Amino acid sequence: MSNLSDLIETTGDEAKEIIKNSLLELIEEAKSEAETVVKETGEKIEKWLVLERKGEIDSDELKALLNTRRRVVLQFLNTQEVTAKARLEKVTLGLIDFIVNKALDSIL
Amino acid sequence: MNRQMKVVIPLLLTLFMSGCAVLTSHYDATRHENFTKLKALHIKLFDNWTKGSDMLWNENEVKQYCDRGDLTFREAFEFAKSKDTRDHTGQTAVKILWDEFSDNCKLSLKKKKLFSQVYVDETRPQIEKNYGYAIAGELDRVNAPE
Repeated sequence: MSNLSDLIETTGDEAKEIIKNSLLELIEEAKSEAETVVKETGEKIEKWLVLERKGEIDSDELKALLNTRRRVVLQFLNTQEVTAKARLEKVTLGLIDFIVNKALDSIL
Repeated sequence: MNRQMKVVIPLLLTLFMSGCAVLTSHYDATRHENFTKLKALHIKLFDNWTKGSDMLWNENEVKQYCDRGDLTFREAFEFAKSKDTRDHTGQTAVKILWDEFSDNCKLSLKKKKLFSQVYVDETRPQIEKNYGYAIAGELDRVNAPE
């Protein structure tokens, strides 16, 4: 992180300094999360900011990468929703089918 | 009311009452296939117009590729929408990928040059991951093949 910190110039401007510190804190917070998608988001954003500061990508490419990452996270969340709902349906209907087809006549 | 109905009806009622919010569209083989086709179409955009490829950047060719791609995404979106009888997760998955493709096209047309290798090395794994999540979601649905 110190690498990125050194690369972001604030030229003594207090407002810029506050934004810089908030950014560094948010990245550190994301990187320390146990959830892989959050941790990886923090790591990727740090890497891309360093690449932009070093001139290896430009600001358009940085913005594009950030939006790409946003959509990866949105897709992850959509998939989580699908998985949770599908599991609920499988378990609930599985239970009903089990009772109707097997348990009612055998043990109830 | 027989004994079976006394047990089953409360269970069905519980499921029905929360059903609108908790049920999701079942697996659809065409939607699954569409994800893999869209992925190939999307990745080819980078294969064609990244520094080091054989192609030279040509505005008309990029526009044509993007227009054709847009139509393919539109068809996949409308198909997913028609199958989303219980929620919007199918069309949402396609829309997220469609937005990504559109933005990639816009970037190419804005910069009017081949994508840089550094940018593609970073963005391509993210895009592949996005498709990976979409396909994994489809395979988690009810009635998906084992």
